[in-house]
Amino acid sequence: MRLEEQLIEGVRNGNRDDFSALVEQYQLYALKVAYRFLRDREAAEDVVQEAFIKVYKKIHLFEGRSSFKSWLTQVVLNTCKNKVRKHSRETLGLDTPKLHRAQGPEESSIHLDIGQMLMGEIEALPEKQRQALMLRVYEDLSFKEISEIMGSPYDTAKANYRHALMKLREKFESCDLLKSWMYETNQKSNSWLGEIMEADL
Amino acid sequence: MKNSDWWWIDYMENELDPTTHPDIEFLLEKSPADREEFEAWRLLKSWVREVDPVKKETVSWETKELEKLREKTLRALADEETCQIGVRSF
Repeated sequence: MRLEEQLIEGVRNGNRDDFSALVEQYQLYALKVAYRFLRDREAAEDVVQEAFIKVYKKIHLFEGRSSFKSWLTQVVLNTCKNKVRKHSRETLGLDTPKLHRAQGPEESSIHLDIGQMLMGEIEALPEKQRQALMLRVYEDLSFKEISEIMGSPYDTAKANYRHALMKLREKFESCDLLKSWMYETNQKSNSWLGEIMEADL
Repeated sequence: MKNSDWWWIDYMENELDPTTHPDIEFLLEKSPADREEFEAWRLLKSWVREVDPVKKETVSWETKELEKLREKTLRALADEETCQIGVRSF
């Protein structure tokens, strides 16, 4: 099996087999990244195809200062942004999930999909914060990798991530129902926090 | 938002100077309020992880689908290049 560096070199020299191997290696990862941002399977597949073609054509621009994965992620995210710009969100079915907020105690019995609310709040975050959050939490990328992908300094990438979490927490705390749910969950988790701390810290 | 929020998040992400860890661990052991605060950040992060659209909507691509997509990408690349050659020779 050829090393990634060898595959990249092969692609630079126009080797289709190496390109195919590179696609095989990163396709699923790229599809997941695109899907998380577009929330549309078909659109994600189109974006990934377009992104890999860009990779093939622009491989000379990849200087190896960042990892190939970071560079590919950057290409995929930029292609996602172009896709969203080209088509209206409605056409692609990218509507932000509607939030069903509880307004008062009488509404507290209404079933709320907390997950959907949280997802809605994540989607409502400013783009850079959302990107930093998703790349960190879902892709397990380091802040160095995130900064490379986002083309921003390390501290900025970290600040975007922190702001995203802080904003989500603020939202949770401003909604009474969520706040009480968070409090209850926290109380429950505190009973086994000691064990977690022993295991994790 | 408090400045300590940044601090807790950085600790959670292992972004603080390791020399500060013993102090933080002491704080977590002795102060229930701080434990609660830190745990709230951990919970929030775990919820964000839980609502991953890929996980939640169980979007996945079978090996065969991935193979088809890869072939499609290679075909599209070949088509583009053929078009370019055609344009150039025209």
